[in-house]
This record gives sequence, C-alpha cells and structure tokens, in this order.
Amino acid sequence: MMTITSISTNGLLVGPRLATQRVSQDLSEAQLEVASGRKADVGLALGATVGEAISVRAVRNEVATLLTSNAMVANRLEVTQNQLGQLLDTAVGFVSDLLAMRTGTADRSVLVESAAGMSGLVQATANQTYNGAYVFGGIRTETPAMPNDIQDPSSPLRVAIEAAFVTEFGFGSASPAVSQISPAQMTAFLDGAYSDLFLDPTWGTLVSAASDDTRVDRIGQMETVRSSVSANEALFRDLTKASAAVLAMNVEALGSDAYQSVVDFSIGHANAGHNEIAGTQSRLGYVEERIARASQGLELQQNLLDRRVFELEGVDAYEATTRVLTLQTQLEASYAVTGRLQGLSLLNYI
Amino acid sequence: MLSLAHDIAKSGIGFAARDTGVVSRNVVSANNPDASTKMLHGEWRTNGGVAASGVTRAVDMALFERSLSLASVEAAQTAVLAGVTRLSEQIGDPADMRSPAARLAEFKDKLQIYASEPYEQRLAAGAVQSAVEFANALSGASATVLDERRGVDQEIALAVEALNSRLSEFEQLNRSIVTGTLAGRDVTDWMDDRDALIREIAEIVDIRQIARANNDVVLTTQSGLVLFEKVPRDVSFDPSGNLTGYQAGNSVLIDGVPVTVQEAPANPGGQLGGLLRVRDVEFTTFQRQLDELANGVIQAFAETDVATAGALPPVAGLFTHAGGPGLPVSNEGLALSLEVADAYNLEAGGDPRLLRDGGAGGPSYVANTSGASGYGERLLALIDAISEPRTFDAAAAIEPNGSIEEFATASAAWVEARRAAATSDAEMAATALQRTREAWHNAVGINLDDQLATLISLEQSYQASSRLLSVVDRLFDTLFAATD
Repeated sequence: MMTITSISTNGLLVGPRLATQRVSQDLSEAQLEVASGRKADVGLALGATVGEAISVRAVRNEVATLLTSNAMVANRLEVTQNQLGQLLDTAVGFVSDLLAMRTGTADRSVLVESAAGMSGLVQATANQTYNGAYVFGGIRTETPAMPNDIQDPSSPLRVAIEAAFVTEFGFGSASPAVSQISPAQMTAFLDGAYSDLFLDPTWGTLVSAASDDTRVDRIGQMETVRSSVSANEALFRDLTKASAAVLAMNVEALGSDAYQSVVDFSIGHANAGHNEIAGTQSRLGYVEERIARASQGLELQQNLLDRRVFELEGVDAYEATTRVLTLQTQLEASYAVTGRLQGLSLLNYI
Repeated sequence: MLSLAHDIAKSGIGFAARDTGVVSRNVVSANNPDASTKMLHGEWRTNGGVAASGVTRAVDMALFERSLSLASVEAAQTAVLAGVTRLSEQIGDPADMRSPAARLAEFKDKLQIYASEPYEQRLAAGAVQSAVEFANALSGASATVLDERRGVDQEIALAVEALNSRLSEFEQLNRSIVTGTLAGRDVTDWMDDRDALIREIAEIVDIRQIARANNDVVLTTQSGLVLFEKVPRDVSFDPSGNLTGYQAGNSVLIDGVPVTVQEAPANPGGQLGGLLRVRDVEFTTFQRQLDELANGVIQAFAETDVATAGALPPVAGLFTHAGGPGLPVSNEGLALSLEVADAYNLEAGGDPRLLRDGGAGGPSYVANTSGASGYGERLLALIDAISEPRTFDAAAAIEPNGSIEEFATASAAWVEARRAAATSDAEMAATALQRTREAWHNAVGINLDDQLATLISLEQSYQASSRLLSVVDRLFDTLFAATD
C-alpha cells in the first residue's frame, strides 16, 4: 500500500501553526519599533557594533559635559575681563591725576585720595569671586588673593615700607625731617629697598595670598587652556607699587622735588600696569576665542553624534510601519489558510 | 473447487479485518508527531488465498539520522544562546547607559565637571559616587558571572540525570523490541517510541545509532564513546561546587572518559556540549574581561610617590581591591573585589577631595603640595589616564592594546557580537531541524486521507469477499438441492 500524498496530516497542521507563531512574534517586534522609533533589541541588531553605540553615546555625554564646563569657564573669563576693564579705566584716571598734580601747588591730598581709590580697586579686583571661588588666586581659589587693605598703615605692606623707610633715612615717614629728603635719595629708595618689597618672597608674605600656578581647564577632548590670572602677575605689583608709594611716602610733607620723584615713580609704574592690563586682556581674549571655537566644534560634533546614534539604533518609521502592515496581512492570510486546512478532510466527502 | 473458493474468500475477509485494525491504529495515531505509518503485509498462499505476514513501518533512515545530528546542534546552540543572553543582561540597551563601559564614561564626565571647579566639594563627592557605581557594576557583573557558572553547573547535573534516566528507559524498550522480534511479534509501535527516545537523547548529547540484528541498537557519541550497548554505560558528573576565578568546572564522564568542550561550532555536542562551553569558555572569557578592566582602572588611578619620586612603591588610589593597598599581582578575581577606597568615599568616612589632591597612600603621595583648592592638574591627569593606551591580557579575547574606555566598550561589543552570532546559529539550527523533521515526518508520517481511502478500499474488498462467500453458499445450496 503506497501513500497517495507525500505529506503527513500532522505536518500539514503543525506547519502553518509554527509559521503563524513566527509572524506574530515579528509583528510584535515591528509594533514596538514603530512605537519607540528604535530597534526592538538594539544589542542583537547591532552585534559587535553595539560597542560603537555605547562609545558614541559616551562621547556625546562627554561633549555635553564639556560644553557645560566651557560655558562656565567662558563666564568666569567674562567676569575677569570686566573687572580688568574697570581696573584699566581707573589706572588711566590715576595716571592723569598724577600728571595733573606733578607740579604746582595743588592740594596733594587729592592725589592721596586718587591713590587710595586705585589701591582699593586693585584689592577689590584681586578678591573678585565667581561662583564661590576667588578668580585671581591662581589655583588658590579658597582665600582672597589680597587679604589686607594697604590704605591701612598697620597692614603688613605698610609696616614693612615704614621699616624700610626708617632703615633708609633714619627717621619715620611722619617725621618733619622728610622735607629734607633729596629727589635723588627718594628715587634711590623707591627703586631700591621699596621696590624690593614687591619681589618674591616678600610680595607673597606682605600682600598676596595667591598662587603663581594658574588654573588649567580642559575645553576639548584633547585641549586645555590656562584660563586664569594670578594676583601675583606684574600688573598687580606695578599698580600696587604706584599707589602705595603715594600713600606711604607722606607726600604732603615732602619737598616739591622729592614729591615729583614720587609722582614720576608712580606714573612710571601705573603706566606699566596699564600696559600689562591691556596685555592680559588680549591674552584672555585669545583664550576666550579658543573656548568659543572649541565649543563651536563640540556643538558640531554633538549634532554628528546624535545623527550617528540614530543611524545605529533608530529605525526608519516609514519602513517599520510598512512592515507592520505587511505582517498583519501575512498573519491574516495565515489564519485563513489554517482555518481552511482544518476543515479539509476526506471525511467530509464520504 | 467450491470449497477452495470458499477458503480464498474467507482468507480475504480475515486479511481485510486485520488490515482495518492496522488502519484504525494509524488513524488514532495521526496526531502523534513520533508515529510512523504502519503497513500490513500479505503473503499469497499456493491455493490463491492471502494471509497476513506481519506489520512493518515506514522508515527513512537518512532523514532520521540527519534530524538526530541537527537536534543535538540545535540543543547546543540554544544552550549557548541562553548563556550569552545572560551575559548581555550585564550590558543592557545602550540607551540605559548601565554597562560597565557606560558607567566608566559617566564617571569620566563627573571627573571633567569636578576638574572645571576643583574647589567644589559636592562635585568631588559626585565624582566619587559615580566611581562607586562603576565599581559596583563591575563587581556585580563579576559576581553574577560566577553565580551563572554555578547555575550552568547545576543544569549540567540535571542534564546528566535526564540522560541517565532516558538511557535506562531505553534499555527496557530495547530489550522488549529484541525479545519481541525474536518471538515474531509486532514491535513497530515500540520502535516508534524508541526513535522518540533516541531523539531526546540526541538533544542532550550528540549520538549516532548503530543498528544490529533483531532490531537491536547501539548508541555512541559522535566522538565514539559508547553510551549504550545491551546496557547503558555509566554517565557521571560531580557538581563543581563554588567555582572561582577562571577555574574550569568538573568534567562529565561517559564510561570513565571525560566529554571535552568542543571549540568547533560545527559539532557543538548537544545540550551538554553547549552547557560545558558556556560554563568554561564564554563565561570565563567575560570574567577575564571584567578582571582586566578592574586592573586597568586600579592602575590608571594608582597613586605614586610625589615627595621623592620612586622612593615608595605605587599604591592603589581611588579604586582598590581585596589585596590593596598594594597594586594587584594577579588579575584573577580582581573585578569581584573591586571597590572605591574608603579614604576617598564620603560614606565610609573618607574625603572625596583626595581625587584632586591624592594622598590616600600617605603624606608622600599628596600631589597637591600647596593644598590649593583650585588645583586641577591631577584631575586632568586622571581624565587622560582613562583614555591612555595600555596593554591587556590577550586571553580576554579582545584587542589587547587600547585605553580602558576602549577596552570596556570592546567587552560590551564582544558580548553582543557573541549573542548575535549565537542567535543566528541557533535560528539556523532550529530552522534546519524543523525542515528535516518535516521532511522526515512527511516521508514516514500518517496521512489521514490516505488511511480513509484505504479504509474504503478495504470495505469494498470485504464486501466483495462476503459476496463471494454468499455466492459459494448459494452454489452449494443448488448443488445439494440437485443431489437430493
């Protein structure tokens, strides 16, 4: 007895059932993809490329972090620039006051006022904070860079200047004998013992608490900048030197020649300070420019990375929707066929 | 002559009746996937009658053997896929960012944020917290892998138990078939059962069947180890207990000979082969990757003697291990004990600012000698250390030269690549098996319509034979009336 067909009844009924199962599984995956816009099982779909997906996402986060930290550094620089701008204006005013009062019988106390204003702003600048940190402290961001007010005669700098004065001339600055100091003597003192106080290490002990090391900031994946200004830089020393000379030399009691020596000394250093501010501003301007360019590059990179993430993990919504429709049709056909097959038997005809 | 015709008609009725019995057996078994079509064979007698000579079944040896080897391949690939899928749970969806690679990247970002404001203690705490999460992810993954290896070991024990019980069932069935054949009984249903059992055994271990006289069968593995000959051979396995590090688990012994882990995917050796491969190859390789990664971060974050360079040995910094504070000597088991040093951890009474300053190893290791709060050099150096190229052990099956972040990503890629490969292997094996089973089933299986058609023809032949009997009967009546 030979078989009339080469298919078993069991095979006939099980085959479509397995096919139906597979189609409904595909359908549920396709529906998930349409809903989420991402591959249903990213790891399985990408295989080894999942490494790229993870690292692309990591870099994207890193880029976002860098953009945030760059914005902060840029803000800090803006604050610094702004403060330096004010300092520049004041230095210009101070120099013109000095020039105006160099000769003649003008009230020298006005000049002292101007010097006090100058030194006050130098200190305020050095102690500028941004987001809780001292901007001009170098890496020493936790303490004010210039803790002492040099207008106060008992401040360490003023005490040291007074001591040097006494050593140089044999009497204190308050003594009436100051009127006897010759311009040459005064110039020698200012360029010698006085100026030495503004060198290291006495500058560090008398005036500045800042660190020479300036802050380093990472602004790109491979790029760092020195983004801060330390209160130990020459501009602070020169401006302090210029204003402290007027404050500490008892200019009102000096002979007019010696007075001129002090004013000349101050003009020289205030001008130097003024130039140094401009130099620092342009250096910081360059750093700002670099940060802006780095951020621009990062934003561009972020867009590319977003697109790459989509390329790797995303699905084409149109394709996925079409797939759902196709699978639906296929499933319906499969149901119909299964139903027909169940009803198909020789029994119905005998 | 009339009595001869009577005998022939009677033998026809008898044969049709027996054949109807066979057909009804076929009809009843039509939905049993293991049943083959049974056929009654007739023998023509010298007098022209017919007698049933015995029942045989439809057989397709080639397809059956192919379905056996495919069943063992499919079972092995399924076991490997299940194992690798459990590994991929440690990686997760890239969007969830919970793989060790993603956590490392997150920690790097936290370091960057801290480096931009090194005086902010809360940022230090945030960075260390992120480091703790990374260390936990790594040690958690390592512990999970060990757990999974123990779990697979138990599955092996269960598979061996199942194999032994199948073999003892097989022994009884085989004995019944041999004695039944010798006694000339119909053993075809038993043979169907035995084939189903052979297929179940093939799923556990890759076997070949060798037919002997009297329908006796010998089972061996593809590699030639005898599993059954008259009696089952001893299959034994001692559970490996607590597996640590890269230690290989106990072997499965067939007749005293260990089953080896197959490297070639062409013949992975049934469920047992797949499980052995998962336990001793896939999981161990991933464990090596985790350990290499742990060693990488310990080295990258190690503290060196700053006071007198090189006078004191480097010690573990932010990340430490069970053998700390010294740097690890061996990488085995490192990931399991990886943790953030208490000295850095706020929750353990430490100071997260050590990240900026260094010095967990002692005063000589302090990098921020001035104690300035804006000191960011060490933080930037640490960020660089994450991206710096270093060398890893090639046994971890990943490109050994690269940074720790690259290595972490490559590990995730390795896992998903293995899963993708195992999935496609398993799907291919399953499809091939299904096709072969369908072909085999179509060759030997029961077709209900066919059986019904046979039934109709049997009915007709029965009617014809009955008619013949009644004709002979009437002829005799006529004869007797004439002679009266």
